[in-house]
Amino acid sequence: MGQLLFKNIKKVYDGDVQAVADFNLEVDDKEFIVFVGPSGCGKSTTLRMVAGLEEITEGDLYIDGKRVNDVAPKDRNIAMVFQSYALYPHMSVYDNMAFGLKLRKMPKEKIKERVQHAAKILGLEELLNRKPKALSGGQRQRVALGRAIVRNAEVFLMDEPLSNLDAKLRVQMRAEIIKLHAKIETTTVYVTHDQIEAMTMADRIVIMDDGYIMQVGTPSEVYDHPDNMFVAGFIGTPAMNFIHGKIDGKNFVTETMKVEIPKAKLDILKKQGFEKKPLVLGIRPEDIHDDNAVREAYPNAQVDFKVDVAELLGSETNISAQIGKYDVIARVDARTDINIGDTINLVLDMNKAHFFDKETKKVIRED
Amino acid sequence: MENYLLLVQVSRVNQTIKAHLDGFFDHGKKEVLEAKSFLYQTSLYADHLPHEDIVGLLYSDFNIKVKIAAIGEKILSFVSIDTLNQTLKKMPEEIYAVEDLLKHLIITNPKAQKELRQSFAKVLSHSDILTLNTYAANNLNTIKASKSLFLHRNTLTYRLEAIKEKTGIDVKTFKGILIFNLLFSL
Repeated sequence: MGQLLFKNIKKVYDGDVQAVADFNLEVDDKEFIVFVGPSGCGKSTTLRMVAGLEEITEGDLYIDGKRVNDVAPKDRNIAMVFQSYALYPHMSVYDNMAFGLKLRKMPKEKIKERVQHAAKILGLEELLNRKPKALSGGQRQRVALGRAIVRNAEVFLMDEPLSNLDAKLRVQMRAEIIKLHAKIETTTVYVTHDQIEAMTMADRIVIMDDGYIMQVGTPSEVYDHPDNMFVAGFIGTPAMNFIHGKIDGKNFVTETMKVEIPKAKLDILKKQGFEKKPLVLGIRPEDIHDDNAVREAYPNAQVDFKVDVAELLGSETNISAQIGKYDVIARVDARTDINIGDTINLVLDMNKAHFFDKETKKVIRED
Repeated sequence: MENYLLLVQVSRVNQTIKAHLDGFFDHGKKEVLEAKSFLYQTSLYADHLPHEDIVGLLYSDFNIKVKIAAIGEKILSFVSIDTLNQTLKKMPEEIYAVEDLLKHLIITNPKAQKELRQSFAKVLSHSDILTLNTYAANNLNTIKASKSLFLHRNTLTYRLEAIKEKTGIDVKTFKGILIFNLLFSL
């Protein structure tokens, strides 16, 4: 069992610098949870508090119902995988993996069994006698995972474990970690700044900024229903477009554009009292279209774009353009022949549009 | 390239822990300063060793606290390793550059501050100190600083490099210039 419970966890460094503010979260057994956010958002600090490498300033941390604030790292039944792998350079792969068990005074035979088993899962059987220096980056990373696996720990903690690998290997190891989790089902807390890792690996994502949790949800929840402008802008590449404006009749208007808001969305906006307040329209690049079917469905959501840059990516083209003073990116089919300087007519899929309160930056939805 | 020394302090020590420290750090010479303080020589750039992870690993495996300070050999002409060792003991964090230790020393120990100032003054000329103060006053901006010193920018860069050679402190970093700023402009 590997449940984690964070109750009002805070971390304040000397000099009153707040790194983590009032962190509340329940992680279920077997869950793969990813903390993601920009540098300095508090994700690593939170992980290191679970590992016991950082003291918890305030609040309570429970592993399987047991409060562990004051439990030493080695007694927490967690296994940490470090960014740089942190293998003992003078010991063989076998000894590195066996090490945690030896420290816990496990009988030799049992250690051997566990190490062999983990080595088999990770494809390290041939490398057990080598020293870390004689391994590739990917192999070292696997040994680091092996160290964690043999421990049968209740929770795995991984701090940017793939960031030292090259791009191709990273994709491969990403898949391996997902497979590994499916096989051994250990609760895993994974920290990354890479939203693609977060989206592809997580059961649930915790998005953090400046010490605060901005949203917790499944990858599709945070992508399709972001709670606020930070999450909306952070998840997705190219990022969601934001256009500032207000309601005028049935329409969302700025100085240079006017698009009709679907009735259901308009009703919510009016009900929440945004008829006269400044609004931000959020629309993802892939929800801006150039085909006629969409144009017929939303005849009143057409906008003329003056093309600044057109990047052909193979199957699609990213068009950078300006609507008034706002930079906007649209992702359209690569069939469309587009040149810089052209003015083209595109249509916004307004049912996929998000509306945010300009002041609070929060999404506007029904109560 | 200048040799780096790693000053390593541990909260507890035994044969096993010593063997692991050696495994991580010992690439040449090792000196035992005190029972729980070691000085390792390394040819690696200090930044290339994953110090934070090593500290984390040793803490989670052995429950020992480890402190590490990376020290260029040159700086030892101006301050003794024993002084640095005693300074590191008083500091709260785990990983430091030598400039952090010097800053702590200057702020907390007036006598050591005076000694440091005197020993740096032996190798720094009056124009070196003027250069450093002007560079700091111009927010480490070489273009602005060179203008106000009536120097070519390359000449300024050359002088700053020369000061680094002489003192072992990279004055083009904030941490580095801060040391001389504390010593010579107060």
